Amino acid sequence: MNIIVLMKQTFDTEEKITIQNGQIVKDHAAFIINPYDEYAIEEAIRLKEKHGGEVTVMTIGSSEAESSLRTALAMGADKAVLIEEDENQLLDEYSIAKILATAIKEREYDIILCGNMSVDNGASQVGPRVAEELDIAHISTVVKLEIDGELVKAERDVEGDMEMVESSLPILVTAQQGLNEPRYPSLPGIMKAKKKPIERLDIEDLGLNEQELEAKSIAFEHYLPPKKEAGRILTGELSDQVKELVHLLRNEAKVVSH
Amino acid sequence: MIFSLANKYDVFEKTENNDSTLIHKREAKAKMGDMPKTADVIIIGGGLMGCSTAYELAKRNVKNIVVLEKKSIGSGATGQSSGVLRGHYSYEILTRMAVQSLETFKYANEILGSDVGYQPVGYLFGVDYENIDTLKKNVEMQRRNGVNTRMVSKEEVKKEIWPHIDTDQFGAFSYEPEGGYGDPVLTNQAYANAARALGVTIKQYCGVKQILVDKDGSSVIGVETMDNQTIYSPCVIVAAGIGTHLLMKNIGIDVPIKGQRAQLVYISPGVPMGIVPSFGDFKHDQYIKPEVSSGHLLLGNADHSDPQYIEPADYDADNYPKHATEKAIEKAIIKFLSAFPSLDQAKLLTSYSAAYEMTPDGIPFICPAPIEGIYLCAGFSGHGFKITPVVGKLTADMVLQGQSQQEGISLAPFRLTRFEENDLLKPEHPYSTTVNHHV
Repeated sequence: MNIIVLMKQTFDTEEKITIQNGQIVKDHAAFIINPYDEYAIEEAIRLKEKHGGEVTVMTIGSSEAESSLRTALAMGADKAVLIEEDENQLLDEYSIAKILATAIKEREYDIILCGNMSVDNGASQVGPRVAEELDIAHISTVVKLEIDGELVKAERDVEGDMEMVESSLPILVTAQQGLNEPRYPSLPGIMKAKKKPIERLDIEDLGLNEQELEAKSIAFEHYLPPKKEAGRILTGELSDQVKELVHLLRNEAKVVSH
Repeated sequence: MIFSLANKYDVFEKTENNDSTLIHKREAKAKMGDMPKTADVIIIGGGLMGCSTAYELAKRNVKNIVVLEKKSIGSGATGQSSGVLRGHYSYEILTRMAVQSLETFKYANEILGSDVGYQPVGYLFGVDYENIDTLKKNVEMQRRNGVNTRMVSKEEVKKEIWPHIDTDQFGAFSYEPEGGYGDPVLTNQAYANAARALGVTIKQYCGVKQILVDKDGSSVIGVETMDNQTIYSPCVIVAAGIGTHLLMKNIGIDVPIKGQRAQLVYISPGVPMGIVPSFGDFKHDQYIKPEVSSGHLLLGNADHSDPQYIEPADYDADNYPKHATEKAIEKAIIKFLSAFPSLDQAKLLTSYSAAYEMTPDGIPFICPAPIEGIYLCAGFSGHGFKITPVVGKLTADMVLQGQSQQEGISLAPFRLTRFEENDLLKPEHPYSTTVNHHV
């Protein structure tokens, strides 16, 4: 089974994020694999372990994205493809899907996995768009996946409800939280992954025209969420505190109805 | 609205952005209202050293002690400490301090009134073939000073202590059955609570903007807090870790303490190992601390030949990466797998980044500053935890009696002027393999 995982390197939200002129300052940021893509990588490795074949991870990004590809290799992916991004070329979900689909068309694949969204842009578009470009079926926000021959059975999270879907290979599946528990890379795996070759592609070499590469949407502002207000400590007699708490829950927080 | 109440003094709140904690604003205002105007002793810094000093002073009937902590208790170097407990030092005086301090960790419930997470999993120390004699001499010195330690054969290490270590690479080992680790934050809280019970006031989220001195700059008169309150006091103890440098620089005293980046890695060994000791691996310049509760291992670097200093010296952890760099992780993995080649199922869990408060010789400052009434208790250079109990006693001795009352422990090696006098503390039998201030 040939498996392709589309992944994205994103900001580590545990680290400090600085915004200047409406843009995130990359020099100060730390980077991780988009957590939803980790589920996709884990699922791909499990499929390989069950059905054989190989896992290719693919990303569009700057040269720093190599470290995230190497993490995926350390987890157990076999090959990695870095489609190097020109920093001056503005891309959006439309152009990214065009680029990925073009790079994938040249390859053999049975299933494509990716996260259902990235934690930075949160658009949830790239997966379904790539499937459309490739003219294959897709199932999004999957929390359980089984493949039996050509048959694909999936359970997808539909805003808290569960939907059972059957389809067939080739297919694109986007991973939702709950699909699996991504493994930690082994120490020898990390060291071996450092030596594995990474295939590098230039966007220019994919033969897309300007119209296809042009972003159709532009993010012109980024800002941090407002700081959460501080908590409050009630004082006084316990019974008074309880009364005040109930009052505040009703009238201020409005989480208890009258 | 999410907030947790650690205890009635410690109020933390998670915010959605990256500022990790914020004190409750109203609480802070209420506290300002009862901010004392004077104190007999002000201690800057509510870490281990500040709180153990406060406790020791209060025990000796000093009244009106105020500890001012810029964030929360243990939020600086204390909270980043690995917590390794050992008597193994090549410096005799530090060995004595570690031995005397161990009693407090062992009997913390009786002495401080609460648990400090002491785990006597043992402390194993291994050196290469070149340092066998040095290790023997140091173990002799340690035994002479009361450390429960002995040389152990490779066979014993392999059979009884930690079967996964590739002992062939090592020249020799020593072992301390009472070593292991403690919990620095629990220890800090135990000292803080014991100090409070004796009447000490601890103000959190109350940083000091500057130390105030009289007109001719010869003696201290108090401090000004970040929120512009003045507390007058004839005695100020600076236990502010890395922050000590800037506070003292602003009153014209150069205290050479720098931040040095420390990067630590958490792994799962991949196989159940039972109880294993804390391990000082001086063949590969690393140390390994087990976590009894999870079975995970903390890997620390012990090679300080190429230190990465953090500028500016007024370090704020929020401005530095919280995780280790890829390069640091790779180094840690190579070292670990060299010592434990059979643990090839070990997995990388996470990493974190911290800062040591380094002095030029790795020995702390416990001394009066050249301004009357100001005392230093800072610069513990990554090995303060295990000597905390004695440091608190020594600092109290210094302030109240002007000299050490602790047997066999002089304050002289910890003076600020040792550099200009070119009279540094030297171990009698230093290890040759590494530039390491910590041993």
